[in-house]
Amino acid sequence: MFKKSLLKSGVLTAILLISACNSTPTIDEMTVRMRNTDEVKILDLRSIKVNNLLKAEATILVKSTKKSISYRFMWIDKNAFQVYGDEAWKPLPVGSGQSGVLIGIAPGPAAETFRLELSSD
Amino acid sequence: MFNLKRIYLLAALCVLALTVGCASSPSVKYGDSKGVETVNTNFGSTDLQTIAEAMTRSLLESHVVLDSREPPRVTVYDVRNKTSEYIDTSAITAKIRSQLTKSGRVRFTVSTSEMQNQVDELKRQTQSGLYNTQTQTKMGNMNGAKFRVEGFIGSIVKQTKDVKDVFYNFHLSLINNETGDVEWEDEKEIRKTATR
Repeated sequence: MFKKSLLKSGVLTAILLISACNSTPTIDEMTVRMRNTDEVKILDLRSIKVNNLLKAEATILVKSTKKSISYRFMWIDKNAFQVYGDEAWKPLPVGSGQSGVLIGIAPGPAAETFRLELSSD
Repeated sequence: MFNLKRIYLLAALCVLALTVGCASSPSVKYGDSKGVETVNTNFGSTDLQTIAEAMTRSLLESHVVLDSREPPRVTVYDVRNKTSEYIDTSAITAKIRSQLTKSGRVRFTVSTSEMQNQVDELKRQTQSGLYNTQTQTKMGNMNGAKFRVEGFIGSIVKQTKDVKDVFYNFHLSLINNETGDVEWEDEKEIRKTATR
């Protein structure tokens, strides 16, 4: 009986530890939406280091283009501080009912992760 | 009586002048320098920033930068303006150069337009007799650029009574100064449409 309860608590502890270590942020957590940008759906976010510079890609689906929506990437270092200042806002290169890919490369090697910012008029 | 009339007329003119002056004074406010600008279809700040970012990103992923053990040395030539409007193309190349320099993956040497300042400074230090020979910079130690960046911007304008469509095409090349090979090339296209 004692051994069973010990085994159960051990498994539970292991599950909790694994889930805590593998806490990958969700797409919503990595997207910052300002004003009404519901017309843009983020399908996927990914990143990779190219020549020690972080490259980020976002696959989006634009449901309609009634509003003018723009985007930019925000670069974050290993201590969760924003680095390299604000990028310029860019108009979405995708039309209504289309999907496309937004690409950004960090200005320097300090960026370890990113956020995708969306804003509308 | 005559003087009173003149005074009334003068007062009325002053009031009118004040009203008109106050009504036409401009309202000034600061805006977001990074914001999307849609004033008209002419080349604007958003186009400059978009082009510079796209070209920088592409150059950073090119084999010239990725395969070099050390950051390659590049010099910047003028970007030719083949559009029908005035565009300060040096602002585009300056922005690209600034972003590439910040990345640490590319080194730039003085351009043709900056060469005179470089020569003047060297002469000032070496020929004026004013500088300590231990601390002055030496002639003959400038590093040559292995590559140069040059390009052009063109546009196609189509217009009807209600619609004006402008298509910009910015083209940039990285050329090996020694061999003449075009080591990298890319372009960025922007379309702006204005409707009444």
